[in-house]
Amino acid sequence: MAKSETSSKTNSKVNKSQSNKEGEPEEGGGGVAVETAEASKRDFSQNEVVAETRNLSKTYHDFWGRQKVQALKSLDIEIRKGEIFGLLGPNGSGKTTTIKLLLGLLFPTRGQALLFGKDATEVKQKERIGYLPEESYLYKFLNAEETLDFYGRLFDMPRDLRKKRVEELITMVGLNWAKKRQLKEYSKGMTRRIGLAQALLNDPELIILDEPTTGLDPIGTREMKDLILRLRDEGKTVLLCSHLLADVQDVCDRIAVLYGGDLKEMGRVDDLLKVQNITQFSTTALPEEARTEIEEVLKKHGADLLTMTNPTSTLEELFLKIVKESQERPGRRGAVHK
Amino acid sequence: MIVENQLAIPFLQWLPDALLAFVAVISVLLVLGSMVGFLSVAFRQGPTEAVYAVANVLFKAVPDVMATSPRRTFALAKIAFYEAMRNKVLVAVLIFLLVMLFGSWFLDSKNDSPVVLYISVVFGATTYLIFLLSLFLSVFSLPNDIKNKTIYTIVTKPVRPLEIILGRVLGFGAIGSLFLVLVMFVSYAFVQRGLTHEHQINVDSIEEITAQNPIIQNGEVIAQIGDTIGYRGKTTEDAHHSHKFEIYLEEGKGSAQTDFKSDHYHTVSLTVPDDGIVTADSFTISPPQGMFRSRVPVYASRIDFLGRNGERSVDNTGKSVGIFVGKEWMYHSYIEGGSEMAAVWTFKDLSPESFEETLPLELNLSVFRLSKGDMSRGIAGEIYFRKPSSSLQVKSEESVRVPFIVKEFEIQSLAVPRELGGLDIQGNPTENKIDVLKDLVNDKGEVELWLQCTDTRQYLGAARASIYVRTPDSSYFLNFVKAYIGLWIQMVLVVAFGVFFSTFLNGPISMLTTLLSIIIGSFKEHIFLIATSGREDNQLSVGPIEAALRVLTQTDSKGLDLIAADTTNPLLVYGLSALQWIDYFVVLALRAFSNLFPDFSQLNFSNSLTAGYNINFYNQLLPQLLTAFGFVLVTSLVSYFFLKTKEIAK
Ligand SMILES: Nc1ncnc2c1ncn2[C@@H]1O[C@H](COP(=O)(O)OP(=O)(O)O)[C@@H](O)[C@H]1O
Ligand SMILES: [Mg+2]
Repeated sequence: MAKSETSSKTNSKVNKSQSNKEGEPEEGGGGVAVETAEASKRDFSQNEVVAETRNLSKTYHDFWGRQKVQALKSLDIEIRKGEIFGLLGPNGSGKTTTIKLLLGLLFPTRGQALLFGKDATEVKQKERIGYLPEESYLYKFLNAEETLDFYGRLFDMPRDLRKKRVEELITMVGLNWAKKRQLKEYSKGMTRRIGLAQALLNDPELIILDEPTTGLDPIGTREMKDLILRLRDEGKTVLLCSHLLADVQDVCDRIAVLYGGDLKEMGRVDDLLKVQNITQFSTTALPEEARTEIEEVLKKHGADLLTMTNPTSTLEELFLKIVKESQERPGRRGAVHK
Repeated sequence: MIVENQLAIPFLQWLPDALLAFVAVISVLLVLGSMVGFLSVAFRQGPTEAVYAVANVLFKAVPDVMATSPRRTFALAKIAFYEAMRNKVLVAVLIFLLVMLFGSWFLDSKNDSPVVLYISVVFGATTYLIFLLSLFLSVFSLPNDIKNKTIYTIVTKPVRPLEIILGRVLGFGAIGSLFLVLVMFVSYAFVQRGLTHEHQINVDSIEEITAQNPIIQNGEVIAQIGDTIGYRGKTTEDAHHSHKFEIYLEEGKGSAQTDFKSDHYHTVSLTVPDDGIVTADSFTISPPQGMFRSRVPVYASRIDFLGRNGERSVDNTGKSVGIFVGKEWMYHSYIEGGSEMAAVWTFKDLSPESFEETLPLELNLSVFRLSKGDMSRGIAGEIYFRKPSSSLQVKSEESVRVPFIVKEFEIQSLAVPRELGGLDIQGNPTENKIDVLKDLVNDKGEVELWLQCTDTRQYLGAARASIYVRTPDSSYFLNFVKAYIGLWIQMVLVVAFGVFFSTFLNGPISMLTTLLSIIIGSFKEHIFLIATSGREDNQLSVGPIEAALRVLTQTDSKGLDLIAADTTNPLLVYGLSALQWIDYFVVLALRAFSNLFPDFSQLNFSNSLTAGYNINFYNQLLPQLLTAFGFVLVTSLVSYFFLKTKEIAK
C-alpha cells in the first residue's frame, strides 16, 4: 500500500468535492468512503464483484443474418462494490453495447455478462440496479410525479413507500417546482434529472449511467458529478460510460478504455496517468528567487527543467495516444493495468 | 327465419371437449416452440448449447410467470390506456363513428324488415369500428415502444415479459370496453328511436262493421242484422307503412291488434262517445309492439324420425333421419303425409310450474309438396304428446291428437292446452283429461312430442330446432347487451392477437397478420370445407390429393381406395396407401391449423337479435367467453416466450 502516500491530482479533486458537504454523517459504506488525504487512494480490489463480463463479445447482424459490426470483442472487466468505474472511448467504441449487454437488453454473441454473479438477463437482478439511458426514454405525456409513480409501481413498491420515494427523489433532483408539468415541456437538463430520479427510485446497489453528462451545461455537469460521488459515498457502485474525458477523470476510480470494441487500457485513473519520468510542479505566487533556486537544485541533480506551465489534461493525451496507436496497430493493446 | 346456432351444444357437454382441445393446443405449441427454439440456437451454437438454452427458458418460465405482479401489470395497463387515449387513431375513429351514426340516423326504413336493417347496420358498423380500433391500438404499441426505446426503461426494471403483454391486453381491452359500452347505449337509443313512430287514424278509411246474422249470447239476442258491432279502418301512413285494424265492440268499447307489418303491430282501442258519433279522437293507438322480442325457446334434447313402417329410421352414420327430398341441404329431414312416418321431439325437464294452462309451442316447419293439392289451405299436420317408453315402437300412454295447418315461412305459434284427452296403453280413452307436463313425463323428466303429416303425398320437413316451447320472453335490452358481449369478445381476441404478433413483427406486418387471422377466423368453416373438398360432415376422409385425383380422373366416386382395388401392382397399392396417409395428415394438420384461429362467425349474435331470440348465456356466451379466455392465455404465453427471447435493443 505504498501508493496511498502519494496524493494524486484526481483524488485531491475528489476530496475537494467531498469537503463541499462536510458535516454529513458518513454512511456505513463498509469503510469505503475515506476522508483523509492519505487514505483517499481507494482500493476496491478486495471487494466483491458486482458486475462482470467474461470474454464478452457482440456482433451485430443484419436482417439476413450477415455479420455487420463487431461492436465488442472479448471484453473482460470486473466492477467491484463501492467503486466508480468508467467506460471510456470515442463514439462507436462499444460502450453502450457493453452496458446493454449488462442490462440484458442485448444477448452476447459469445461470453457472459454477469450481475451479482448471475446472468444479466435474469429479471430478479433488476431490483438491485438503476439505469439512466443515454437519452431519457420516458413517456412524454406523464408529469414528473406520474412518471416516478409509474416506475415505482414497476418495482412493486407499496403505495406509501412509493409516495415517499417519489417525493424524496423529486426534491433531490430539484424538480419540485416542475413536478406537475408534462415531460414533453421539459428541457434536456430537466429530462436528465427525472431520468436520474427514476434510476434511483429503488435505492439501487449498482447504478449504470450511459453518458450521464452529455448535453448538460457546466453547472449541470458539476451537479451530476457531485451526485455520482455522493452515491459512491453512500456505498453504491457506479458504472458510467462517457466520451467526455473530464468526467471520467474527475470521478472515476478505475477506467477501461475501449476503442473499436477492443479493451485498450484498464486500471486506476492515477496509475494510467502517471508518467514515471516526468514531474510537474505547480505553485502559487512563486517568487523569482525561489524559481532560480529550484532550477539550481534541479541542475544539481542532473535534471533539466522542461516547462513550468499549467499541466495539460493528461487523460486526453492518453486517450489520443491510444487512438493513434490503435489506428497504426489494430487489436488489443499490450499491458492492461489492474 | 331459422337461427341454427341456437342449437349450441350444451355447456357441460362442450366443456370437456374444449378443455381437451386446449390442453392439446398448449402441448403442441410447447413442443413446436421448443423445437423451433432448439433449431435456431443449434444452428448458431451447436446442439448442446441449444438443449441448455431451451431448458433454461422453459424452466425459468415457471417462476417468471408465477411472479406476475398485479401492481406492475396494472401500472402497464394504465400506461397503455393513457397512451391509447392520447392516440389520434382513437379520435379519428370516434369522429368516424359519430359521422356514421348521425348519417344513418336517417336510415330509410322503407323496408319490410326495418329491425333487420337497423340491427345489421348498427352491428356491422360497430364490428368494423371495434376491429379497426383494437387492431390499430394493439399492433403498434409494442413496436413503437421499442422504436422510441421507452421499453428500455421498462425492461430494466423487474418487469416480467408476461406483465408487459397482459398490461397491454388489459389496457387496450379497457379502451375497447369503454368504447363498446358507449356505442352500445348510443346504438340502443338509435335503434329504439329510429324505429318508433306514431300513427293517426285515417278518418276517411273508417267503416262500420255490421252484423250479417243476429248475434246471440247466453240465449239473448244482442245484435240484429245490420246493427253496428264494430269498426274497421286504416292508420295513416307513417314511417312508410300503414296498418289495418278491425275492432269489435263490447259495451261501447273495444280494442284490437293491427295487422303485422314492418316487424310490428299496434294496439288500437276505441271508446264510443256518449253521443254515439265515432271520430278520430275516439281511437287511441299504441306505440309499435312486438318489434323487439327476445323469445326464450326451450329446445328438445333430441329428435328422432320414424320410417314408413313405424320403425326408427337412421342414416349410415346412425343418426336418425327422415326422407331427403333433395331440397336445400340437409337441415330439414322430411316425413311423408298419410303414412306412419313421424318426427319425435324429446323434451326434458319442462317444469309444470313454469307454464299456466297452455303449453306455448312455436313451429318453424318446412313443406315439400309432391302434388299441388289445395295451395291456399296449407298442409295439415297433427301433434300429440306421449310418455316415453323403452322404444319408439313400444306402446305408451299418450294424448289425443291436436290438428293444425302448417304455416310455411314463418314462425307459427301454437298454444296447446296442457290438459288434453288421454289414451291409455291399449289406446282406450282415459276417463279424465291428462296433464301433459305431469302425466306423460317419465321418471327421467322426459316427454315426447310427435308430429305427423295428414295430407297424403305431401311432406313436412323438421329439424331439432323446428319445434320448441316458448317460455316468457327475456329483456330485449339484456339481449342487446349479450350481443355486444359477443362484439366485446371479438375485440379482446383482436387485441390479444395484435399484441401477440407485435412481439415478434413490426407494426405494419403485425397488422397484416392480425387482419389475416381475423379473416381466417371468420371464414374458417368455409376454408376448412374447401380443404376437405366440400364434405359437410367434416369427415376426415377426402384429402387434397384424393380430391385432386378425382378432379383429374373426372370421376366423382373413384377415390384412392377404388383405384387401389383395381390394381394388383404392389408398388401402386403401397404408393396409393401412402398417399392416403399423407392426405390424412394434411387434413389433420389443416384442422389443427384452423383451430389456431378463433371462430369469429360464432361471435356475431346480431342474427339472434333480428330474429328475436334470446341469446342463451350458458350454451352460447359462456363457451365463447371461455374460448376467448383460452386464446388470450395461449397467445399471452406464446408472446411471453417471444418477448423473453427477444433482443430488445437490437
Ligand atoms: N443495433 C445496432 N445494429 C448494428 N450496429 C450497431 C447497433 N448498435 C450499435 N452498433 C454499432 O456498434 C458499434 C458500437 O456502438 P455503441 O456501443 O453504441 O458505441 P458507443 O456507445 O461507444 O458510442 C458502433 O460501430 C455502432 O455503429
Ligand atoms: Mg453510446
